[in-house]
Amino acid sequence: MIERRLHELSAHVELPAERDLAPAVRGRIGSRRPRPGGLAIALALVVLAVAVALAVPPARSEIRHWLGLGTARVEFVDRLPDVQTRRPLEIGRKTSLREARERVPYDVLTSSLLGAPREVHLLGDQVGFVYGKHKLLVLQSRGTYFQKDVGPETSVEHVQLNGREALWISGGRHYFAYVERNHQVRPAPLYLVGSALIWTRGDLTLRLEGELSRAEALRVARSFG
Amino acid sequence: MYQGIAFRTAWLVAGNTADAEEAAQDGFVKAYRALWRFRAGAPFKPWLLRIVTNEARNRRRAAGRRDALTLRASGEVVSGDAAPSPETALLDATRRDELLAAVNRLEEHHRLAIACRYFLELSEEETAAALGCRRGTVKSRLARALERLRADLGETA
Repeated sequence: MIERRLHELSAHVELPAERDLAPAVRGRIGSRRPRPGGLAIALALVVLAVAVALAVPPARSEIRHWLGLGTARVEFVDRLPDVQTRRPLEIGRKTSLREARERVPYDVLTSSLLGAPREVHLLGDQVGFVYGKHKLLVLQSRGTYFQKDVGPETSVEHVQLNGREALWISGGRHYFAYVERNHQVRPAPLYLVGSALIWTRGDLTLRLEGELSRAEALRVARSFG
Repeated sequence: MYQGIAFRTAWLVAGNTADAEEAAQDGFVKAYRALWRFRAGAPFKPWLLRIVTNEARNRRRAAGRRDALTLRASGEVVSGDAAPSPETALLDATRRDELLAAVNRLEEHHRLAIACRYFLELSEEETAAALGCRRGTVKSRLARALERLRADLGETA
């Protein structure tokens, strides 16, 4: 009885009018991340939050849950979209390490283990290194948002790397896409990836993609000091 | 999506709208920066509410405020049902006022549990996150609060 009366009372209790917190939060996050595209996406991820699923290709099934790390969002889905692997990979125009360093607003990290990359690519503030012949990709950025969709056959493990949490994705192919400024998932480029490691260093988010074991991937990641 | 509930939960805890707004903003910014720590599969809302209400509690503590928030009736007419007769409406309003006064007489931790659960319609898990306690504590606080309300209003269980 008292419970029912409380439920009825709830419609009559004065609650403060809702506030639009988005502009203030955008400003606050923006003081740390000055790139406007990043801001918009950050706000989409946090203020509008997770229940508002990003627009997805129609072939993809329902999002079961997701997690975030740096500028990455990993979504767990029942089924991956039907996409073909694209070659060459669309990771931006080819450039030199020197030019990439001049163009991005952060200190580009390089590997003390792998030596000079075979190719350097630039896409927005994302610097991509290709080692071997498309065997290993390492990409780093501060404000480039992306998402990965993983299906039931793929496992995502939380691993420790330099005292911080990293994500190791393995066991099945997963789908990758960039997230645009308007919060939409870019319909292209699409490609399916093998194993991947995502980690952060300072305010950079790095990801490694290729056919490596977890131990190998962690070793490579540690070499980006 | 969660702006409204985060702000209102912070308001319950902080005790005023200015602190609640700042606490909610701080909470969202902290949540964004801690997003990488968010566990896969864990519900997002309790995680966010815990961060926001921690901010609200800190603000209240820093301001040294001990006086608890007093809940008030809105005075709004709730649509949906056929309009009651003036006598029925008066009786209903009187009973609501009595109940709200009894809720305001509860100790603060009991009142907050009731407000989160019944007025903000949070789940037990979300209420626990908002109040910074265990789910079992929420259960026992709610049971005790309901018992006291019944005693205060002369109702039987």
